[in-house]
Amino acid sequence: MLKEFKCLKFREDTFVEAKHKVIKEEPLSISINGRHYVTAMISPHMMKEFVMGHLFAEGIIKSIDEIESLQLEDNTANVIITHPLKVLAARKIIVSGCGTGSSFLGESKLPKIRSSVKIEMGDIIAGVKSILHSQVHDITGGVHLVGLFDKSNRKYVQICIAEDIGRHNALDKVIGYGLIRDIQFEQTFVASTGRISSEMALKCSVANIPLLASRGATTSLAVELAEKTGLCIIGFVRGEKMNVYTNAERISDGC
Amino acid sequence: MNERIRADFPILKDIIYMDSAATSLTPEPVLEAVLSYYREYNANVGRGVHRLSQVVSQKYKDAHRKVAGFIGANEGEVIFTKNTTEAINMVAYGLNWAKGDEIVTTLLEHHSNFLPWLRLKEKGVHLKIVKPNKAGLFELSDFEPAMSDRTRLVAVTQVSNVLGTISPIKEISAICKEKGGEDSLFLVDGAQSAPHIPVDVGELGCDFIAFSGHKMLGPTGTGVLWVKNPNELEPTLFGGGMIESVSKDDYTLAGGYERFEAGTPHIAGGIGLGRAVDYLKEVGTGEIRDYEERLAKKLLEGLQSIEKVQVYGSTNLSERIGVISFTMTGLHPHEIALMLDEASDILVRSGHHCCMPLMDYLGLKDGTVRASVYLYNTEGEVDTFLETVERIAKVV
Repeated sequence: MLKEFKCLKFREDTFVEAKHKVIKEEPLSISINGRHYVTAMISPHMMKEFVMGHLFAEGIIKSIDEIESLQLEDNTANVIITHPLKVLAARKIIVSGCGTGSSFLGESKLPKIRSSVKIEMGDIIAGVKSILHSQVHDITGGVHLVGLFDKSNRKYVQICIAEDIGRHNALDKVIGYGLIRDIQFEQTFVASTGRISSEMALKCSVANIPLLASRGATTSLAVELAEKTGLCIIGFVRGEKMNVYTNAERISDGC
Repeated sequence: MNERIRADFPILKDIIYMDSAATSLTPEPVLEAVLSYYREYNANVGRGVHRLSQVVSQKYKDAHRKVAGFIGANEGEVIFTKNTTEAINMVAYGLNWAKGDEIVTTLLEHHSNFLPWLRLKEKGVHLKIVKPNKAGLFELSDFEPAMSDRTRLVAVTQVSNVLGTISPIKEISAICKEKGGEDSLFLVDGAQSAPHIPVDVGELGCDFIAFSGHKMLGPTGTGVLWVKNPNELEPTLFGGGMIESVSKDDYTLAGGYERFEAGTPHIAGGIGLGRAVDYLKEVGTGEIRDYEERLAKKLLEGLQSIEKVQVYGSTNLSERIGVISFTMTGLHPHEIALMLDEASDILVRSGHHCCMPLMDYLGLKDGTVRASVYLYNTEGEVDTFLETVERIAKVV
């Protein structure tokens, strides 16, 4: 995850030669059924989870059973899926539906979250707080963290934490982790260190994760999208405070 | 499990197939896998960047991975061959033999695990042959004197293709490593074991295992050689697809299985074999073993109760599989096989079963009739078989 480089540190009016560990960023080229699909820049960690989570969150597969083969070699991931035409279909829905303006062109195709779960504020606060402790972040100062929380004996526990240079990548990784272990996403929530963009909101919605909380801010498109999909977006979870933007009924304890 | 399985073998509607030790039948999902290669992504492996080449390369590699997983091995150690015979010959030709080297093998072996070693006598290699008892079982102590610090290789079948008896491979491996010195190698002929009993190369303690895809629901023309240390075996074929780089004066071999698979391989077959091991795993190798044991019990007890019939091999079910050899006083094995076919559409093997030294040892100059069952056979078929043998015995 780390690579050391020489750097000049500017301290008290002078440059000092030093070394610093920075977070790795590497290209991962994903091919689906022999054709290049996308090259993602990611931190080389939890690669299998990333690929599976990405394909799922992008709507290319509905379950990991649709992946006939996944081979990871060097900086490539070769995937064979059972329904190759879905690549085209998925691109059409997502690109035209959610990234190109203020209205959702593909609104009828947006996912609707199916979950009746209510999550306690205390669990959300504890969740967001728990993902802030990262050794990699302490060393590099350049990593996003996303945690997936699942209910166990009525309390939420962190079942996976992913680190990556990209928020979306880290989210794909925890979704992939959940898929591989057959986690029922409708009773989970996700905590992130970064801004909640429309893409983050859409990925959670596709995965049927009912709640996305962050220490950071959100965006207009994310909120508008979440209103339609049923996702609860919470920003600025700091100390005992938080801003709930959408679908507050998913939180118990009166919010 | 049986009705669901039989639906995958439509060939069975007109016949009772009891010759699986020679070659097994091929289920529909394997046929589909083979055909889908030709219909959907027909291309060569490892040689192109176009989409079909990528898909087929991935599927062919996946097939190796599946077969490796089936025997508890790693992908790079599993080489696809055309059959067990080729796999064993690759070891015979791929090791450097010195005059005075010794090979220990047994009298139970199929010609394919015998001739490759017998031929090495020309190179000054000595062959030591351990005899089983008449029931096809070994005394472990018989292996000890056969091994010495000159022992280069021990080659033993895990299951006899004539008698169906299971050899104590783990124990023989231990003796091989103890008495034969650290450099001695151990080859297992798994042609009759891999299809019928769970095989784990780590547990067996061997250096090589060879088996046939076509005996385990795969297409004909498929076999496997597993090699513990692929770098210690020389390839026997050189050419396309097995190199990392070539210059005017030199070459560097590819790693893993690729170095042993020169030229365009049997791609559809390999992919079909991958599907076949998936099929066996879906049914469960333990379940297959248990089921065949039931059939074997019925066969053994039934045959033993028929007058004029002599059954060979141990009758202890825990030390044998459903490969059962028998003879009948007054009839040649070929006559019995023809009569079974004529009378009841039952297909069995007859003759020496590529085991002439064993036949000599057992005093069976005409060989035996061999009935061998697999997961698709039924108890009803065994009943029909036994009734027919009984009828034949009465008319002799």
